[in-house]
Amino acid sequence: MRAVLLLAGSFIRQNRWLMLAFVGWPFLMSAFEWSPHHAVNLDDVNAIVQQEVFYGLAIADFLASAAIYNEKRSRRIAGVLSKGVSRAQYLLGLIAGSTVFGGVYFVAIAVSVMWLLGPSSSELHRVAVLIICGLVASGWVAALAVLFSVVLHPILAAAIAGIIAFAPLAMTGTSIFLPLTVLVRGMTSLSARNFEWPSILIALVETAIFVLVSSPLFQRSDVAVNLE
Amino acid sequence: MPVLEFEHISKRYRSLFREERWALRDFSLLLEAGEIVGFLGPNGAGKTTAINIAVGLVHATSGSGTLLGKEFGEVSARRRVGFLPESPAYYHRNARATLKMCGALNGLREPELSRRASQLLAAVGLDDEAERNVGKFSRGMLQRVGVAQAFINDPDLLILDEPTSALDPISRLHIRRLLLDARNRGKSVFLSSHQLSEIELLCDRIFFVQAGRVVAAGSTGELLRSSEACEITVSNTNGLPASAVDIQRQADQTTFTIPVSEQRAAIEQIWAAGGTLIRVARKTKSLEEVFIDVMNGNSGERTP
Repeated sequence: MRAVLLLAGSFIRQNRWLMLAFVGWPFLMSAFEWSPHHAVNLDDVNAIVQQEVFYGLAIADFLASAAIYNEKRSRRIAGVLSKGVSRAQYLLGLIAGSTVFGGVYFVAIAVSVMWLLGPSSSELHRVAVLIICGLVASGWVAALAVLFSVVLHPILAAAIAGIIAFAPLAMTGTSIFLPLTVLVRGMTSLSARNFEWPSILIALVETAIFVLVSSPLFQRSDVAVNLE
Repeated sequence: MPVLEFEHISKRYRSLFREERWALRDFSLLLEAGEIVGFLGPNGAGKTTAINIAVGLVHATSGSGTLLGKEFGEVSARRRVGFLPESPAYYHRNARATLKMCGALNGLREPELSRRASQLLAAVGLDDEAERNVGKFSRGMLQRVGVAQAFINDPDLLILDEPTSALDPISRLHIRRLLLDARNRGKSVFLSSHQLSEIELLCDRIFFVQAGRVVAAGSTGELLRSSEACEITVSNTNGLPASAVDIQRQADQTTFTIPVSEQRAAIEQIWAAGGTLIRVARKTKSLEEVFIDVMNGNSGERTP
């Protein structure tokens, strides 16, 4: 567990400037929307949140899919995996780092929404939904992206994970096995008031399955090879 | 019990658009506890591949091996190993934090972690730079951080790939002291290097690798004494053996080289001619000469 936390911390530290930019983004968008002279338009806020949620999940996808490749290219991976760290712990560290990145970003979205709408109890509940669902969705996307990046080039891995994650959003129906659809709709709808617990649970189970599948695949791969 | 053993390991690299390449072929090697073993070979001989297989970064295509009694790739064995890769790279943080992270990944806890980090930073001459970001370090300083992190968990086995490359003579001395101290404490060291002088000074045994195979091995002393010639210094004589070569005269002394098989006859001839024998010594080779002989296939040494 300690190794996972250390690796996640290092991952976040490596991406801290990008994270800072992403944390600032929702506040910048809210600043454009906010006015001292009139109340904010809920539809506008909804549209902004929809965009921001999509960006958050997309960055989790890109960061996670490129993580192994970047660590190999920088040769840091040799320094880490030659220590008392298992391949599964290494992947968990990268997934946890991407998830925390997404989580921090969703907290920023939640705080910026509260700034626009005011801290009423219903809004507090809504931002809690946004943060929890955002964190779970980030983890799901990151685990899926890492799974593909173990065997594919990061760009291909990001594209495939992105299609699996986002394509169902364009469809009208939802599948119980694609919990991201439900989570995203819950996060981006102003009418949503409740946690979608079944979808959260399914997302967590699927995240665990992605890790369980990617670990033996990664275990069998050579990590100290020339990427050029 | 061997601390590191490769048993008939072969490694083939394949890629979609490139020809397949064998980095190791039927590679076998054994490292016993408490010795420093040198690992020599030309570029592309398979040294780094063998090291990467030992620490579990790369998988063998066939064959097997053990690291501290465990199969290659076992996490518990890696915890007791100190590894310095060929080109060490670290997360950008200060040198002390880098060492502490490496120690923590090997299961070390405070306050031992801080104590070891400070001790090793001093041992590699980086105590004044401990709070500086390693991202701003020179190649030589990074190398010293690399050596320090390899020692952070007080490992039973050190696997070091080019530990003294890019280091100045003082830093090399620091590293040499660390390695000798480790051996004196019963630790084992597996050292790959192109610095032949370092290998000659430090290693108990040397393995020569070429085209993915161990082509020669032996104790350093044996290898350096492997010359079939001896050097004789005499005075007050004009009657040198006919087979004498490399004859050097200095004042009344003459030094020459003859084959070992003719040593006795030569000495008797000099005595018969009234000469005085001053010195007889088996001619030693430099490690560079041994290396070139082995790589050219002229070695008379045993091949495992």
